[in-house]
Amino acid sequence: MDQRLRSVIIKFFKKYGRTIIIVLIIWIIILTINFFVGKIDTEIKVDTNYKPHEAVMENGEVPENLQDPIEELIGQFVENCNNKDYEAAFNLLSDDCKKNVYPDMELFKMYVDTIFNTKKIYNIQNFSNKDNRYIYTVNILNDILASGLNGEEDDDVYSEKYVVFEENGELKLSIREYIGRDELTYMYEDDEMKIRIESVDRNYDYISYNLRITNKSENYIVFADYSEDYEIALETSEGFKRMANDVLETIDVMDGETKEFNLKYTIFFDEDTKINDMLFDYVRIYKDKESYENGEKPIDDFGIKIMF
Amino acid sequence: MKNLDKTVLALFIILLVLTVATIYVYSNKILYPRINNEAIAKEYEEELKREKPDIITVTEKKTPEDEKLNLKSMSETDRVHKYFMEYINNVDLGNYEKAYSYLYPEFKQNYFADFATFENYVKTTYPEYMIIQYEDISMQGKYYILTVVIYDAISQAEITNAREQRFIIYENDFGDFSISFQI
Repeated sequence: MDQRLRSVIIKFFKKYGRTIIIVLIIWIIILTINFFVGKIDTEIKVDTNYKPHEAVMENGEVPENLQDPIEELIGQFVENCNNKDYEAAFNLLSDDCKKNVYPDMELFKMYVDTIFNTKKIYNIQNFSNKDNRYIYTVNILNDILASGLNGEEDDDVYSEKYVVFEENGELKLSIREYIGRDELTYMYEDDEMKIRIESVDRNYDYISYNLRITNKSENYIVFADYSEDYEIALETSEGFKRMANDVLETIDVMDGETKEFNLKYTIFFDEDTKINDMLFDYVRIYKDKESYENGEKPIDDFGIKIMF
Repeated sequence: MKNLDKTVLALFIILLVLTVATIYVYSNKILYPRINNEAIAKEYEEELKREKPDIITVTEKKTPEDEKLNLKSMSETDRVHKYFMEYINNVDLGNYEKAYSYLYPEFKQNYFADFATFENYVKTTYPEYMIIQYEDISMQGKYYILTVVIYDAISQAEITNAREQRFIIYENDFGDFSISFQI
């Protein structure tokens, strides 16, 4: 009986042994995987609508390694302003911002005293990113947790854009939506005049050209008095002209005089528009200023195009 | 003879399967072995308690870690509501000191410099039995602004007893929050 049983069992395993082993191996693999997967700690994703580093404009991302430093930089700036530590706050600004927006420390103090008239809290939201410049909308408001929204102005929120970028290996801040200045060397010269486009200041929602114009003649020259559209316009890659923003002063130069002018155009920093040239469409030469004021016809009028 | 062989084989396979199943069930403690000896049974139960305390203490209060995990898995709105209810329930139950401890320190300094002032405020402002209705929730960065209407539960038909109030809640960490409110 035993011998028969042994023989049957042996025959059985000879016939099905390989299948049994394969099944056993698969079973052990599944158990092992199940065991290790069960040991993995699944990170719970915390639900929040506050995602300060997700760009509103959906153009580019803030690198992960910069997110915390950017928050710290803006936090430090706000803290310094709250504490009226003007120097410390000023030192967090970029060189261009210090030089061109706040050339005078008193101006900066005035900004701080106006915006941070009481203790403020803030929140940030990444707005746009371009050319390694990270633009954040910063909302500054009264400390509502301390006041419980019981203050008259607690519902007021002051909003502006801060630009963060690396300068000399350090993260710096540019406030009041100012991006920076590019030095330029565009020029036009003839016997009567010299036009130099010396630099351009970039803000988030406009650019501003700084011009120096010399009148080499003995006549009076008018470059723009806004009697016509597009007297000084930018020609862009879009194929049409951009008109200067409203300017109150006439752009004119007396004989032998050199004057500086500033021309603003609405061009957003994150636009892909390329500027091809600046067009002075209606340059007029008068005998003198009196002739111009009397409505006399100019001696000469012409256009000038300065290619970029 | 052949039938006998097949029967033996079938029995052998059944035995093998049962052996494997028993080992699996026992090793995963799906079924515990029955012990007749009372002394050993008692010792075994204590051993089990030591090994798997959560089976015995499942009805006890969750640990702070469990609470944190629970909060993390909640939606943002639910978390804010939970924090608010934590505060208002303490007010409702007369645990004024606990409620006072949730106030943001600077807010306390500004409006409730001492506990007695706070106690007097909540006693005179809130009805004995409250109904809370959530009206709105908004955010200013990490600050949540919750607008609620608090009704007197007894005389709820009288809308003059309904009070709309905004609460500002700041989450320091999961389960750790500060609160302030419109007075």
